Amino acid sequence: MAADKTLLSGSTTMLILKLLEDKDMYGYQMIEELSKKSNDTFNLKAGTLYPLLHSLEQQGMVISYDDNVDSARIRKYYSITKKGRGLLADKKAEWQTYFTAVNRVLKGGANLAASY
Amino acid sequence: MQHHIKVKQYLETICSQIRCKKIHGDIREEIENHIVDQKEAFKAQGFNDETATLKALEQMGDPIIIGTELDRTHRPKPEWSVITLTILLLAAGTVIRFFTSPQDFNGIELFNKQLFFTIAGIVLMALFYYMDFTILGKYPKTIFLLLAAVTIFLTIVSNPINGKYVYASYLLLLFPISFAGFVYNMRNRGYIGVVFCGIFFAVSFMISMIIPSVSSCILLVLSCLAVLTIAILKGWFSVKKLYALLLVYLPVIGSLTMIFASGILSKRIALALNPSIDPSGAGYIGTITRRLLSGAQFIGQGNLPQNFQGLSAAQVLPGINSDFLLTYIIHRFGWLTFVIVLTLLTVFIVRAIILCLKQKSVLALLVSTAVTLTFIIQTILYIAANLGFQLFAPLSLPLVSQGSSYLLINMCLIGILLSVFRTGYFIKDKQTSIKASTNSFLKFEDGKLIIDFNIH
Repeated sequence: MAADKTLLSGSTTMLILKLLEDKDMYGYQMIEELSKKSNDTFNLKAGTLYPLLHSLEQQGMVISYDDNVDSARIRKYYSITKKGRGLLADKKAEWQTYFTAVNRVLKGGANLAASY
Repeated sequence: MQHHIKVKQYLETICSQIRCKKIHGDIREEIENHIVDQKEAFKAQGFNDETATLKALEQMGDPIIIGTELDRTHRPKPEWSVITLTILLLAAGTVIRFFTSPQDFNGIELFNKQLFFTIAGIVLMALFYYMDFTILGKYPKTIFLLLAAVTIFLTIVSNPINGKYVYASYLLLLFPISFAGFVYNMRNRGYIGVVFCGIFFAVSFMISMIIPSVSSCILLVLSCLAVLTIAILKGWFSVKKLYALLLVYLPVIGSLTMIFASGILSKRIALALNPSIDPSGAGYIGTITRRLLSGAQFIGQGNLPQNFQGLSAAQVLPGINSDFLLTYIIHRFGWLTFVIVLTLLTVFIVRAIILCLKQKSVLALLVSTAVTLTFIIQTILYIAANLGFQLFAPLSLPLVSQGSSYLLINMCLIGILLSVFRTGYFIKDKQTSIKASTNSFLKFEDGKLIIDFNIH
């Protein structure tokens, strides 16, 4: 499988969908979780997150609903759809291909080493 | 307090970049929540209120860029498929009538008139397209009272034609969307809400009986019933769905049983099924349409029945451009023309249904369903009558058959439908749910009135 050109922005999509795979979350929570799970490596800006979430919602990958689970404020929660899970699986596979390829190059893959 | 203004300014800047105003409130709320969360986190780290706010805003990123990005996502998209199909149907109607009009009495004059009204209809459609359809949900009572008043006024000032107030009857096609707006306003109103919808419907029904137009009645009953059923199934009234459905359908089934038992319909059904039992009386048109169809070819002019030799079909069939356009073109040009028109209408209807089902907001769903059903029922009644089954008189073949008033009304409806498909995605149903109301100052729970002073 060929890797998408928009791999970097695609990986953000993948990370967000991955977070939502476990439980429904609101925007701020996603940024916090991502930062925590990646040991502060991924510091996603709200300005990147919301446009991405809204377009994922339009494509039917996630749905949103208002709720006030553990706070007085009503928050907009996002929940992954079946279609979204499908996209996540695709993105994961794509990432794996890319990751493997990069690794092979970095380790000086057999064919590549010979040509130097 | 200055940092509060900063937050407000930040939100304003984002929204100023987003052209679709309907989504502003939603986005503002979500982003503001985010800023507050971020601020609280900074405060927990020991920063004071002002610094925390400023740091939170800095963390958010450039508001112009966020706004531009969100604008790209939330741009209203015109539904080109439905616009194209509307134009194709109008064109098909014009071409067909161009060939059939010269055969009709006053035909060319009527053709020119219809051409003028086609253009007027397109203007009207554009007007409704850009109008905000949510007013149907905001002022349902005003809209209904206005519609009812104009309809009744027309029955007073106009003279009945063949015992029917024709001008008033056109307006009946607008009642289903007004009903949709009313149902939308009955959210969480319980069984009493369902009853109110029933009363609203009953008043509309009685107005349609003044006209009287049986076909419009059928259209009203079926579309309102469908709209109400969808609302119940969506849990709109917050009641047990089964009981609510029984509350609606038991009276409907009861009335139908009474109508059938009274025998008013039995003669009509017998005649519709077999018009030849009274070929020169009430079954005349039924007999003629069937004979014309039985002599039709797939392509080309069909044969006239034996006893009409020497006459043309236009002389024996009334309304070859209006009520019986389809029968006439099948006879005159062959079944192929029928297949073409039917295909266009079917594609239009199927596309409209698919788009209705995609609507997220209940108001958009109910309004688009009401319009689509008005179309479907007109089409079915018309085709049935034109194929020789005349239980109910045809209203119009939407956008195709002659009739300037029906054309204008149908163009208004399509304008509203396109407006729903263009902006329906951004509509958010009013939050009057139980969850949202827990934030109110006054609430009523378990028979106790609770006054909450803890509201900010």
